[in-house]
Amino acid sequence: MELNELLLKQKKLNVEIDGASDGAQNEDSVSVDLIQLVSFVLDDVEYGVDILAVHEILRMPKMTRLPNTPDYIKGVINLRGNVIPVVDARMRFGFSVAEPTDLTRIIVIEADGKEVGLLVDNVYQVVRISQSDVDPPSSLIDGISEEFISGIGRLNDRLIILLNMANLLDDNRNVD
Amino acid sequence: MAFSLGEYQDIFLEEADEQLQELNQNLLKLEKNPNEIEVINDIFRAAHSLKSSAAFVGLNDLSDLAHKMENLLQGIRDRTLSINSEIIDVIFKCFDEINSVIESVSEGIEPKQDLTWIMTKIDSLNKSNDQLNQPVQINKTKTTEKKTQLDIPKTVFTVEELKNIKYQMDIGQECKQVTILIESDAQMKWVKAHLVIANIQKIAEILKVIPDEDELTDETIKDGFKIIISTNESYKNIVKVCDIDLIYKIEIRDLNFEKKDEKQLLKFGAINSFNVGIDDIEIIKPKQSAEISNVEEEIVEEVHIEDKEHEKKLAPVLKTVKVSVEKLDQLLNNVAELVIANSGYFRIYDEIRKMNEGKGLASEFKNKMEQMARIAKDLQTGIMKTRMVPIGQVFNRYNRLVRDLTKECGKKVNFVITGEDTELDKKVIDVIGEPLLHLIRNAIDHGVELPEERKKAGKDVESQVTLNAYQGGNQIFVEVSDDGKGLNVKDIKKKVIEKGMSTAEALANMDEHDICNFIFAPGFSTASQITDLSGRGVGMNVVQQTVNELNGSVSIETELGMGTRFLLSFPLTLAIIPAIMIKIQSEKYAIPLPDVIETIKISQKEITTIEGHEVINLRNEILSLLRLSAFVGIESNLKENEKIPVVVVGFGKRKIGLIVDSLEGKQEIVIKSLEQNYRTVEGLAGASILGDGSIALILDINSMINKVIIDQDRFANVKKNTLKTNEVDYEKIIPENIKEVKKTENIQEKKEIQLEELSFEQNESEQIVQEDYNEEIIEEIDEQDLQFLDEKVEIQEEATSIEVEVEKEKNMVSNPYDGETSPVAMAKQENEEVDERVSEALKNFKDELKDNIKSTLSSVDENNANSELSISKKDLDSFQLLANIGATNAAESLSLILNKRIDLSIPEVSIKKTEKIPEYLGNMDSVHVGVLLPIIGDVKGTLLFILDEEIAFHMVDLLYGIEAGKTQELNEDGISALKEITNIIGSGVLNVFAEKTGLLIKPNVPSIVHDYMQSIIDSILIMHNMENENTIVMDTSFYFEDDRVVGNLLVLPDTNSMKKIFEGIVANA
Repeated sequence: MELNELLLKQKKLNVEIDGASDGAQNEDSVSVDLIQLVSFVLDDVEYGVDILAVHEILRMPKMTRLPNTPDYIKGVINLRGNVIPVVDARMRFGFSVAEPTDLTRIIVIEADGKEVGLLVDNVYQVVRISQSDVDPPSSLIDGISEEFISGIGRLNDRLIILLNMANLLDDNRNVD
Repeated sequence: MAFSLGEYQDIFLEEADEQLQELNQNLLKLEKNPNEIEVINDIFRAAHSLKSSAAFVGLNDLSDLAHKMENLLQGIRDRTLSINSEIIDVIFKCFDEINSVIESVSEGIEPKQDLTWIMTKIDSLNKSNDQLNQPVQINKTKTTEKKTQLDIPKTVFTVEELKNIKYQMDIGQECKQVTILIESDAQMKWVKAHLVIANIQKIAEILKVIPDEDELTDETIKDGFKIIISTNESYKNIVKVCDIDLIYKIEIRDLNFEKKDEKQLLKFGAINSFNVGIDDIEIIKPKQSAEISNVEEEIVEEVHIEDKEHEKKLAPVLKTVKVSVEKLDQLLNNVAELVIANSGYFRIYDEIRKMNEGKGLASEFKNKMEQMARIAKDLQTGIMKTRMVPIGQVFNRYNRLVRDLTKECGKKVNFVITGEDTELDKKVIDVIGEPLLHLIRNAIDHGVELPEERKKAGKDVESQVTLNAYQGGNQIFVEVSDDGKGLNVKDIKKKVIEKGMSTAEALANMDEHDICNFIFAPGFSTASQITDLSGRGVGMNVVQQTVNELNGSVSIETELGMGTRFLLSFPLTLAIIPAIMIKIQSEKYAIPLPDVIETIKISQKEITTIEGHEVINLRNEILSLLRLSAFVGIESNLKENEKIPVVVVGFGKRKIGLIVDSLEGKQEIVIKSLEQNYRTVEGLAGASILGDGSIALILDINSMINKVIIDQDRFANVKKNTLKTNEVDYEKIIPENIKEVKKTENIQEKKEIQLEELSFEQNESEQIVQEDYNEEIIEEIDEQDLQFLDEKVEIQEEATSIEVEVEKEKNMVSNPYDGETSPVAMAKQENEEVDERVSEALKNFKDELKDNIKSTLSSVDENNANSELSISKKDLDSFQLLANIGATNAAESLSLILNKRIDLSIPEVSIKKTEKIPEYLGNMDSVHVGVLLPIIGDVKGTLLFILDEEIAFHMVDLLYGIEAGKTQELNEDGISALKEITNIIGSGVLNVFAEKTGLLIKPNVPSIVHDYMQSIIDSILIMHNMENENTIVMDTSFYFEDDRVVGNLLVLPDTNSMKKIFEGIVANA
């Protein structure tokens, strides 16, 4: 899948940049400061997940419902012999529920040491953004609860909400 | 950083542990047979190697201790010291100390144990035979020297090596062959060899090691090994560096080349032998002259310098390899994946076959595929077997424990171990130790009696404690049994009540087995005093938990005075389990096969509701049902008239039936945890990946059974609490599914408030008191309400008969239960309807009251029954509780006897005017059968089971299993059957009363009145010699599954008895 290739490339690039930064030290700190995000759009708002937390991106696989769990847990999937839970981003972040389409993707991320799938409507692209263009989370953001936001990135005229994945599976945190 | 002994730590720890085990074992043997010289030798050897290996890794304290211990043992070995229990105890203490040192090392803590005390103790024991020590030394040396036929590898050189030796000599170095002789029973010989080599390397160049340096193992070094060195150091120095522990002799021979017929011959010089060793006393004996004679006897090894093929010695094959469990687990996981991945090929094969009509490719593929599957399976079983370890290594630890315990308790115990060869999964072996330890401890501390007691009881003075393991089917069983005094059920009961774990009435309904299981509850202990062995009440709980964690179970068999047996069972293996696959809609779930008792198919009409729970009668056993569809939160797609598949599952002694949509057969599944990437999910034990890559969830039967039980308890709690007080914190105790009830209760409360207001106006109205009893089930509210209206109307004595009839009709409509649903479910369904009815009835009632207050006031002439009897509302509430339990008992036994579902209304407790009873029951003019069960003992009165004539006939049909409708009159058989039923039901109720009040309450011989309702009641009145106009009525209606009323159960105690009952309740509350 080309997206995964892209992901791999981006990751490599990241390593290269990291490597370069070791050598270059302070010289070019602005370009070193880049963070890369896998971005997706939910109801016209763009969200980004740090690429370093992303393991891969999947098309909608066969899913098994997990009873006695919160609604936002869509179920579990078999990822090469690993059983991983899938969180519906829409439900988790308090959006209206939507039916899966051809564009529906699962972003497999590592959250709190666990592999979790995040079910999103689509994967938009991989963007690079300078750390200095990231503002702290603001309560002005509609819809999504602050505890899932790690910051707000500005890229030209786009706003990308950076997601904090650590609380993704925490049942005690709710959209309201 | 953690404390470490360096690179040899692991080897040391492992060996030391083994040595300790061996020491303990052997010392126990020695204690029993002090004269067995072999055992002493074994102990000595193990102690000695422990000493040297401790020194080797730098644990000098430990080494010193081992040394002292060795001295002591030597005394025993040489018979200068006789074995007594003091010595044995001290040696055991030594083992314990050594063990604690080893333990701290393995935990990465620097051992700081103070060992001096034990050393002084040994010294004092040793002093007695100090002077005898000298000859002992000599003795020992002699025995060592006596050894003949040493197994030392032969020296064989290759051409290159010979050339090298020659070269060394040419440059002026002396070449020597050093033969190091190691005690044949020493451990870790290879380590010693390496040590020697390392030491020699400092002063000489090593040309060759025999056996090869890479092949140095304990197998290749039997009695010693050889090193060819080139050096100019003196013998003395060579010996010095070679002298490490357990090396008792070093022989050095010079190497020389001699020319003989154009051939270079390697010649060995005379043997220079040096004795070193015991207790590091260096006795250098350059015995050149003495050894000369030896030289002749020895074969001088000659080697020709020729290009000759030398057969290389085969590397010895290692018998065992130590592998970490993690590696095995990993491997097992991989193999499991392989097995599963393999099954995916079957689908591909199908596709290929469809695509290729010709057989060629498809069949070839099939062959390969099957071969792969076979190999994968073999691999799987192979690795599973690798994980299996004989349980003996756990068992043998306990010998020592038992010895110490019996000494401490002053008991005589013959500890028997059987089935040590039984193999168990490594994981189980690792954790089973603690639970077993506890059980054995209990058996000795609590189980078996003191010798005197045993004598008194006519038992053998020596008690038996047995530890046994065996395999049965897919399970491994481990049992700990003793022939002691057994579990005392009475004591347990007492303790349970004392600790508030259950109530007396709940216990009354339990069999002994259930009661025994209380010992597994946390905090339970019957031990009257806490000893350092047991009594804190945590042990058994831990036992059960540990065993449960391994998917195992514990059961108890006990016989008072005869003994107790704990049976632990574990699944053979933990990673792969056989499971029954089931479906709810299209969702697949797996139930671990060990949890499954049977699968059955039932029809809808077999399902009965008792206390809001669906149950079936399975071979005369009440089995609670759980609808799995509800549990996993989806609709079942079972058709209405379809047979219902039920999987009967059990955990421990408890059983429930799971209603599923369909059964999908048996399958081997691999357990994958959900915790790894998510968390524990209620009701699920994990997930499993099936052959097609989809995931099936594995049900956690234990938690499911618990849920059912908790739900039942909660339900019971709600009842109790609502009865006890009006200020119940509903949110806390009411599970979601009965929240609706709460709503109606609020209405009930509201109604009461209104009633109270009214009663204030009205001042004295018995009906209002009657209405005060807080009922929580809607039907009763309704019924009572209407009833209330009824009587109100009566009191008015006005011509409102039309209204009465209307109300009565209503009453009948609201009375029977919906046959299919529990009261709770019904509450849900009819909630709104009931709300409406209640408020409507209330309104009517209020209007009427207002209209008639005046006339009522004038007509009230009776005293308030309650105040006369000084019965408070609280007392009535307590009585209601009794009635509830009693009625439930009755319904259960009735449904058991009739083999039919019997529903019951929550019993209504009220105080009624006796003459009003026939009216109250209605149908005054139809013929009924009343079974009168006289109550005798502290309480007098009658328990009345009243049935409509037809129902009574029907019941007789049911009981005798004859065609329905055949019985048309009551004959002898019918009468005795009905009497018997009433006896059973009545005893159930009365027993509860008796237990709760502490009074003697017993049923007498029942009698039957087959007559009009009025006459039945009259006969009771006559019997009671009715002096009082008021009597307490506990009225329960029973219903068949088709809503037909079975009958009413009334308890009619006389006034005095009523007082007694209430007093009893208060006293026992």
